Amino acid sequence: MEQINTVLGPLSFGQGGWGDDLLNGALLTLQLALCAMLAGLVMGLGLAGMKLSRTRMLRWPAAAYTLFMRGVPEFLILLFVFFGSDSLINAVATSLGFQGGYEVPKFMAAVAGLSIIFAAYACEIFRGAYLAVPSGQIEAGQAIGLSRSQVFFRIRFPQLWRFAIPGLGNLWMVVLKDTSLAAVIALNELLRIAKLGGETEQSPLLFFVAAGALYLMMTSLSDVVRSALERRARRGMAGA
Amino acid sequence: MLDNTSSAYLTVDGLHKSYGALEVIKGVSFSGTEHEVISLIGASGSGKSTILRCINLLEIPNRGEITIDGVRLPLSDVGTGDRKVTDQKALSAIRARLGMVFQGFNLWAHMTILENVIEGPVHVLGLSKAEARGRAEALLERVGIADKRNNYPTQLSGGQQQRVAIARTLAMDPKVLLFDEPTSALDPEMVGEVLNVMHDLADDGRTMIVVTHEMGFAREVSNKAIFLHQGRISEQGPPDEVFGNPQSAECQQFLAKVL
Ligand SMILES: Nc1ncnc2c1ncn2[C@@H]1O[C@H](COP(=O)(O)OP(=O)(O)OP(=O)(O)O)[C@@H](O)[C@H]1O
Ligand SMILES: [Mg+2]
Repeated sequence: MEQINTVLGPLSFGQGGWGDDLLNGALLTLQLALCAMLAGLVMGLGLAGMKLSRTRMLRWPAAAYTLFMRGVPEFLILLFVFFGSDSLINAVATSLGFQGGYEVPKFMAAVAGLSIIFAAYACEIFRGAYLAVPSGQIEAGQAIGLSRSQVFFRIRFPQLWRFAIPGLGNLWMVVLKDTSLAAVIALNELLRIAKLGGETEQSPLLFFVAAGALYLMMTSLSDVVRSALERRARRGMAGA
Repeated sequence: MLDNTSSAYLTVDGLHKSYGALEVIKGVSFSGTEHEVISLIGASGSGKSTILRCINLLEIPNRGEITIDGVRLPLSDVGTGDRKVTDQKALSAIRARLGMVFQGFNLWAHMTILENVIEGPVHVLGLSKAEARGRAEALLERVGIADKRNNYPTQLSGGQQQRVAIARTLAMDPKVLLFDEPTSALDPEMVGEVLNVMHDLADDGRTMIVVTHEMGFAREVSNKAIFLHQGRISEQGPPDEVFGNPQSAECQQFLAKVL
């Protein structure tokens, strides 16, 4: 028992222990992932709308965007946003006659970096889901006199989720884990805390195992939520 | 029938439709009076569905006019190429007056049976939910599926789904009903239940255009039969004549094959 205590000691809560720091890190990770996912979903819907548009001027920028974002390493894009956002804002500010020296809050920079990547993936998921709604059901809506926007909001949109949720669930897992890349800008998310703790206490493995367990807890919980949402979205479908 | 006005209620005049270079409908004209049941027959690929889909503008005809109860479908005049729907509001209003029943039922999978039937009345006609529900329940009763009102479409058999689809269409109180092979996707033992419902509708004096391979039904129920061959009408008239004494070689061949 004592042995266990000395081994796990550094993970205890309160004075001298890293337990609460790790939990706070996990909380920040979760917040970061939630914000990035939310922003990514909204942008992804917009991009999907552009990609499905009849107007070429809307279609091709969206196509170029998704191609680029998915074709370049995520870490590279994140570094670019993390370190480029300050310079960009200051350049804009000085050109407008303001004084420079602004700093983008780290959390904001991380949300921005992650969400612009995930928007590209979400876009593809939404586009696929949009096209997966059976065309006969769309025609039935048109035939009964529903307007274009009614067809979208009453028939297409509610069924979109049935096809999108499995893919979005996967995406969420990736977002949750990719938040750890924000450690490079010294944002105190879970992995950075674990690394700090491990170095300070000189037992990195213990801290990495603890962080891994916390990630696993969050992802397993997510899976439960995902299946519940999936069941809801598939209400009334065969096999549901 | 009721007041037997012989004036045309629905006219299709000089209809042409191409998909790319492929001309599918090559100048089709016919008309129907109120309370008339027209059956549209012909081989697979002869263009039956395309004609129905042009009538409610699910497809835009390249040439030709369609008039229903004195209202011309809102299409831009034949010009250099693409015709467009000129008035989306008018289009919705006309579609709401034309009921379409599809081969594949096409019920909305995320809505219950009752929700399927009240969707149009509430969101197109602007009825209150309570009023729409009352009407929907009466219609579901009529097609014999009132007890399934809270089920989802996939929980119903094909025949039941098609009867719901008919109820959904009737809930709009359409002036003309368009049926596109409503029984072709059904198991044989379910064909009868759907044909019975359609038979009742004809007896009620509904104006109907029915694309069907059920020749017995077409002959018995319709007032006029139109035989389509490669995008043209090659024979039309009272069903007894078209079925009993076909003039064209292609119609004779077709009937010999299906009867
Ligand atoms: N969207 C489309 N694009 C290209 N060709 C089409 C399209 N829809 C129909 N066609 C072609 O038009 C022709 C007529 O098709 P249509 O569906 O009207 O035939 P049909 O008489 O209803 O046949 P069936 O009895 O098999 O339903 C066919 O040759 C078909 O391949
Ligand atoms: Mg057809």
